[in-house]
Amino acid sequence: MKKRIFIILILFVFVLINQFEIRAQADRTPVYVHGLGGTQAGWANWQMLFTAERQMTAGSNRLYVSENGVVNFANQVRTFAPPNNNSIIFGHSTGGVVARHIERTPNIVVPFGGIITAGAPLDGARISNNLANGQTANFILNGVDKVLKGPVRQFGPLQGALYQVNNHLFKSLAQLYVNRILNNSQGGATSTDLAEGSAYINNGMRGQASAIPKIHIYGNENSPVLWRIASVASTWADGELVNVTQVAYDVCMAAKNTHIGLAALNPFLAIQYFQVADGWSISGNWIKSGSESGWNDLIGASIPSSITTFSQVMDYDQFTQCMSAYAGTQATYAQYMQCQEQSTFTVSYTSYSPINGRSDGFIKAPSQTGFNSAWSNNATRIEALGVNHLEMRNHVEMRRIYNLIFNGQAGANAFFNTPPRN
Amino acid sequence: MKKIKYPPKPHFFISIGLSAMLIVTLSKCQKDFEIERKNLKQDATSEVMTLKYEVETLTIPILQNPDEANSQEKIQAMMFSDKSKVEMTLFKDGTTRWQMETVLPSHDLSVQHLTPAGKEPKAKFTRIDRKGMGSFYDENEVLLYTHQVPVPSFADVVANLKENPNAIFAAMGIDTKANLNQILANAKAKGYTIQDLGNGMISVRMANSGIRATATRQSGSTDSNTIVNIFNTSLGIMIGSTLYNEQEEIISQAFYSYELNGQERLVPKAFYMQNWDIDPVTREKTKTETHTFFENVSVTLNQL
Repeated sequence: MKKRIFIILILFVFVLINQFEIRAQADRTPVYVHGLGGTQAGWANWQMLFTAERQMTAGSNRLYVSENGVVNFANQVRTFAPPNNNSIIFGHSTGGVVARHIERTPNIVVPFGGIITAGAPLDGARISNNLANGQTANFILNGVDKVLKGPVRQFGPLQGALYQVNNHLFKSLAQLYVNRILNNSQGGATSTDLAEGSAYINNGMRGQASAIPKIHIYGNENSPVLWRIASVASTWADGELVNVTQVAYDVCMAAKNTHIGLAALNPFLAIQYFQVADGWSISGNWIKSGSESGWNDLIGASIPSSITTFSQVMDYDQFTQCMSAYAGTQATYAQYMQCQEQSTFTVSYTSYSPINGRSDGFIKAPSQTGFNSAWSNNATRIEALGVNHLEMRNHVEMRRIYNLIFNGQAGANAFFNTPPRN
Repeated sequence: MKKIKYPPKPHFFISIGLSAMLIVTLSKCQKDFEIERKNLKQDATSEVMTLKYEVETLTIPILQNPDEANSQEKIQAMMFSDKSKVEMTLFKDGTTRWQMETVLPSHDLSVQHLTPAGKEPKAKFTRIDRKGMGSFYDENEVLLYTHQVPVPSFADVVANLKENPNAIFAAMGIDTKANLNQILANAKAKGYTIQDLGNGMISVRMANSGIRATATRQSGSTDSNTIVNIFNTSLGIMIGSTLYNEQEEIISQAFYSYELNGQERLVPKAFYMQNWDIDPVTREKTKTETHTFFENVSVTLNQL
């Protein structure tokens, strides 16, 4: 009897191994799903590489209408994805949410056996909320105002053609920035679906545990995230806007220092020059840090925090009163210093100073990893350091990550093992 | 030769207002500050003076209703600070040459962010030549890039010094009583309104539509400002200033404080300024406090 059980067990193990080898050796038929407003070009690079390098067919990589809601999007994908439990669905951004939706749709045969998401807003995208409530528009308006503070204070209100050029050029480029980054997602049912706390995000799907193997790749872009993603959105070289903004900051601060110097030597006009210096300082600091803090807040990657500092300030009413005791006499410097000292106080100042959290420049890291989704409990989460939302289409770090996944490394479920072509 | 950090590339930046500021040229050239010092000496015949100081600025936007403000409004009102060591050389033609070094401010407002830091080198040293071309260097004094800086003209300062060489001691509003009287006489001659406020205080009102234009050597501006400066005549110091716009609304107000240096002379210590602006979103008036602190101020004056 024991011998028979042993033989059965051996046979069972043999069959399992055999099955696994068959699975591993058969070419997979992947399904690629782009993001909101994207096209099949978003996955074209990886499709070509995976097909050439791994035991994978070209699979399905199509252009979908992505603006009409997640459900509509998912139905289109299902149409072109015949059931195949050896298939992997790759979803970038909204494509990852679509993959989850298909997997969680009741009473269907799930047409794939594993899910890989990249930069997917699994818990929602805060930027959708802020587009709808006008905060994104206000952010741009404030940015324009602050960046021009130095130039306007130094050179006066921009007039005529100069004003037109600056106003329209900046605003149109700012709009381009928003449109490119947001993939024309302003308005539309899908953008509404993706908003944090929306009816779609709270429809229960993300709260359901699921056994299907899944991997969430999350971008963790370097600071300053908004200028890096803007470089890509503007089809400029990687990080080029970072260099430009760094130069802009340094120029602003240099301009500020020269005006302080002029103020020091020209007391009658000092306040004018100090005001100009203050304008350059506001411009530079918005470019350097205010813009990134504001953007991180818009995308939900901002962690509330405050900071306190202390500064010596003078009560000038008290000082004037003190000095009035010496009116009509030749007051001494010592008397002046005494009055100044008596009228000087230490005051504490506290301001909001949020911590910039991890994100791919568009979706905060916790949402990309489904931090608040029971559905993602069994997911392998892999960080793509220095990769922003748009760079996931072709960044070298993503290639390294995909190779790890296909080689069975990085803690990925063995389901995703996809051997190289011989 | 030190390694080159960036290849030369032109950049265009949309946001600084003037197209001259938009072109970024990254140069391979690298010079250290010693060479510049030699050049400085060669040009000594045209030098008027050298001004050195350390300046720290703390900017505090004031939220009117912090409890009702949303996060974006709070971010717009974040404090910021910076500090620089500055050396400026003034030439007879009103041009200037600058060396600046960024140092850690005593009001350190830095935050430990979770976002990974960018790897790009940051500028620590800045040198601006007499044509206003700025060269920005990293902490190893390797040139990162060059760019035009909108340096204001100092021609008025030179003109004042020619009239009265002792006027240099009026830097930041400090003067002897005798010199102050001379300055006030000049102000009266220029048509400024001088008013005795009592208790040894006087005000000098400068209603001049050309203040901004004169100050920046720009033309075409219709902006008209009025400055009222308050002096303590018994001490020979400027106490404060107010800047009004065309509608006679206060847009800036400032007070000075001084300290005694080793030569028992008052030198600038701090400049407290309040600015009022219009919020571009709410169209409501906003207020910003700026505290500017000076240290180690020194002036070297040449013969004119």
